[in-house]
Parts: sequence; C-alpha cells; structure tokens
Amino acid sequence: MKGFLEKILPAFFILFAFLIPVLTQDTYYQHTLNVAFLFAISVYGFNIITGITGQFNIAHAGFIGIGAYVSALATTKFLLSFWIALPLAILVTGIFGLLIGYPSLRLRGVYFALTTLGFGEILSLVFENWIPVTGGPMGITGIPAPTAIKLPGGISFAFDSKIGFYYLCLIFMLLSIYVNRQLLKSRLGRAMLGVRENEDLAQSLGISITGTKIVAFVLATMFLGLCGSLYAHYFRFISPVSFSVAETFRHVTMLIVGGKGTLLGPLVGAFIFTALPEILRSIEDYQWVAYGAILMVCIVFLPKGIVGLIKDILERLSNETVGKK
Amino acid sequence: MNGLILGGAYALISIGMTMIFGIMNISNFAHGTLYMLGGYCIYFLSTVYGQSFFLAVAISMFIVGLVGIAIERIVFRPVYGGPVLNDLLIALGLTFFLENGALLLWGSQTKSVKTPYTDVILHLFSVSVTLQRVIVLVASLVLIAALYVFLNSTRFGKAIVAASQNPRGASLVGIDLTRVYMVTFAISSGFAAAAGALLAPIFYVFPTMGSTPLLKAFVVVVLGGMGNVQGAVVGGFLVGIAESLGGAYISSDYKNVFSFIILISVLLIRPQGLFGKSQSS
Repeated sequence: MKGFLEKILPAFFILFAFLIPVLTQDTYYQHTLNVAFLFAISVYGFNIITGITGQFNIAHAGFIGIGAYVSALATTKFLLSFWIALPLAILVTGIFGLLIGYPSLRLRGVYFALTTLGFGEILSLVFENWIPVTGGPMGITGIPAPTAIKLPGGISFAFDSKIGFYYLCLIFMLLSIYVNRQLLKSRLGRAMLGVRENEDLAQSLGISITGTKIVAFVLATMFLGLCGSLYAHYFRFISPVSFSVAETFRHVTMLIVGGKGTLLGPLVGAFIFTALPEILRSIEDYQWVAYGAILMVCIVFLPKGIVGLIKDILERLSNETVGKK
Repeated sequence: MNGLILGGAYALISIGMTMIFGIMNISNFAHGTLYMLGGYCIYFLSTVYGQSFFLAVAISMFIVGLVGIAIERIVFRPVYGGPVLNDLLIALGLTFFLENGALLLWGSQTKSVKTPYTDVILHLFSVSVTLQRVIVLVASLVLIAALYVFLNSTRFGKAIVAASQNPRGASLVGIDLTRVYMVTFAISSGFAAAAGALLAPIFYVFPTMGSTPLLKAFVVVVLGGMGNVQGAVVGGFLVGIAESLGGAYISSDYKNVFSFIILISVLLIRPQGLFGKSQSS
C-alpha cells in the first residue's frame, strides 16, 4: 500500500501540475505559480548545501544574481540565444561557487558562512557600482524571452507567454526535485548528511569532508545559476535589489519553515511564502519583522519544518495503530 | 589618522564578538544590530532629549547591555550546544527582526547626531582632524584598557577568561557559567553600542547601519584569531589602517572589497588568525 501510494501520488501531482494552465486561464494565478516555481528551484539549491550538507550560504541571492546577470548580458550585449545563455549562466555560477567554496569550505565552523556573507556584500557592491556592465542601480532592461523551440513537423514551443514559461519552470523545478531525491538516496547524499551531522564521525568512515562540501556547494550554485537565468528571462528586467543579502533571508526562511534537508520542504516553503504575501497584502510593512520572528521560532520549536512535523505526526499515528493491534 | 580612528571603533565592535565566540562558541551575526541600537540610543538621548554626549554614550552602553542580556536569555540560550547552523540562522532571524523593527518604529530616513565636538578642528602633527574623531579614538582606547583591567585583575574577569579557555574546567572549579554568559553578552553588547554611539556623529544613524561594521568585525575577528581579545584589538587597527590606505590610494568605491580580500587571504594562508593557536584537527 505504502509503496503504491508513494508511486501514484507524485505521478498524480505532476499530471495535475501539467494540467493547471488548462484548468485556469487566470494570468494572475499563473504568474504566482511561476514565481513559486522559481523560488522552489532556488530553495532546492539552498537545500543541497544548507539543508543536506549543513553549511550556510549567505551569498545565496548573490549567486542567483551572477546567473541572472550572466544570462542577461549574454543575451542583450552578445546577442546569444537563451539556450546558450542558460548553460553559460549555470557554468559561470558554478565556477564562482568553486572559487569561493575552495578556500572557505576547508575549514570547519563558521568560516564558510563568514566568507559567503562577505562575498554576498561584495556582489551587491559590484552589481551596483560596475555601471558600464551591470547598469548600476538601474539594472538591465529589455532582456528577451527564451526563443521558441521549433520541432520538425511545424510544432513549436513558445516561452514568451506566462503559460509557456510555466511549463519551462515546471520542468526545471521537477528536475531540481529529481536531483535532490537522487542525491538523498545516493552515497554522495549520505556523505553530505554525515558531514552535517558529525564531521569527525564522517571523516572516520573515510568520507572526504572538504571534497563532499565542495561538490555540494558547486552543485547548489549551479542550481542558483539556473534559477537566476530563468528569473532574468521571465521578468525581462533585473536590478541589484533582487540579489542582496536580505533576499537570501527570504529564501532561507522558505527552506527552514518548509523543512531543511527534506525532499518536499523546499517546495512547501516556496509555495507558502509566495502565497502568504499575496494574501496578506495589508500587512506588507511588517513582513520582514514577521519573517525574522517566524525564523527564530521555527529554529527553536520546529527545527525540521512543516514537512518534518507532518512526517513525525504520521509516524506517531501509524505507530499508535500498530500498538492497538 | 583616519585609519587609527576607524581601527579603534572596529576594535570595540570586534572585542565583543570575539569574546562571545571564545566563551560560548557562537558567532553572533546579530552583533551589527547592537551597534545600530547604540546609534539610535545616542540619537534619542543626546539629540532629542539633550543629554551631554559622554553621559549619553554611557547610558546607551547600559541600555544596549540590558538588551544583550535579554537576547542571550531569550534567543541564544535555546541553541547552545546545537549545530553551528542553528546559531547562524537564529542570529540572522534576530537581525532581520531588529533591523526591520527599527525601520517600522523610527523610519528609514537617516538621522544625524550633533555634538559640540564635530565642529572643533585640531591640528596634530601637521594633520587636521575634528575633535569628535579624536574622542572616538581616545574613548575606544579607554574602554579597551578598562576591559583589560577588568579581565585581568578582578575575580569575575578572571572567571570569564577561565571560561573562555576551558568552559568545562571552569564550571568544575565552581564558576557559574550562566552568569559568565550573561556578563559576557552584556559587555559585548555594551561595547558594540559604544562603537555605534561614538561613530554616530561622524556617520549617520539608520536601521541597516550595522551591516558594514558587522562584516568588518568578522574580518577583524578572523584576522586576530577567533576568540582572541588581544588579536581583536590589533586586528581592528590593522583593518582600519589597511582600509583607509586602500581607500585613499586605490579606490574608495570598493573600500569594503579590501577587507574581504584580507578575509580570504587569512583563510587561505593562516586560518587560525595572526595570534591564534593552530587548529588541532
């Protein structure tokens, strides 16, 4: 029964997700879903390095910015196609991940968080001050939508509408869930969990701590590059504000509230924090104060997030029914 | 000269952070908000209520010291002994809570603090500086000296030093760690507030004013060796001087980049800091 449910439920949800644009034509909902998917891709990247491996990347939003700026510049200044700019953004972001990760992940404790905090601030400075390239505070405008894919037989997929982009985001989000799932099952993923839980113990089992952390970080940053590129081509406009350290805070709140290190936590967190501000427009001024309070409360009382809480409740329920028999 | 003045303030901020790291093994990412609270305290006390500058600095230190004690009790105590990730996250949550709280309460516009000393210009060794800047340097040195005397010659100060060297050993010989934590947080917050209050007349007061000093403090703390108080003092002056030289001779837009380069090079070459013991691992 359990195995059957585990197979059938995701398939049902994926089918449902593919049918949503058919069910509702409302562009507002489609937009909200697109934003939620973009957030989800980013938070899945966050999950790899912070949720699974336990290293806090404060430059998270900055790395998304690298992806966004690389992709935007490649398409506006060098007139490359989106389909070349996207892998380029992923590659460049990954290289920055390696450059930042290598010196700071060799050390234990807070050094990685410190270095990424510094790097995040530097990125904001560069985005704002390197005006000839990044456009400074004005950002980059006129980023083209992804070019349509033309298949033989006259079929073509266009991405300049919200629906087209919806499918693009959905596919990449499913990819990021898939990578997280495979990672959690694999030897590498277990090594990452080992590093998070107890570095000494992991090392005694022959796991290369530094190597594992660096692989996790580069993989995570590549997802951020992906997210940044999609972001740039969806909104067609980027500016430094979207990639500040404060923005990292929004993403980390999604991760923690959803459930760090879990497979569905990032998705749940991304949806909650995309939908909530839309519903609670009236208290917009208080949102950051509320985020701060929610994060602190969650760390103390709900360390595994909503998904972890539901899992615990389900386990307790099934244990109780077993006990009654 | 500017480097020295900035250095004094950096040392003040960093001492608190390094003490908390040394004793509680927590890197307080919310330290910058205490600096910010110091700035707002001095603004309200001296500009709005017209207290004299020095009295206002002292009261600011006291108020923010109390805030620090509250933060230790309510926010940090639940995460002691947990993974490093949790202290980082909870401190970040606290930072956002306080920064945006300040934004809601006091607005986003910058506030300037006027003192009688900002307009007095002194000529020392062919350099002219305002009296306010000299006061920053002298006050920092006095506070650092006072802390040094407290840590080395009073009973409780020695208990703090003992706790930073070996917490378990210290509690075995009857040192009350809970009180040590409380006093350490109070001192650390008070010093951050002092830095914020002293620099407020030179810079401005606004909700996110703490983020740059926070970064600088981290660079200083890493440079001096995490948990090392003397290291933080020397590191503070080194970073202040390096920054003002880099800003003057290379580029002032990217002033913060120099501290970051220092941070990366220290991590690559000597991660235990200039004065730290090498890691046993």
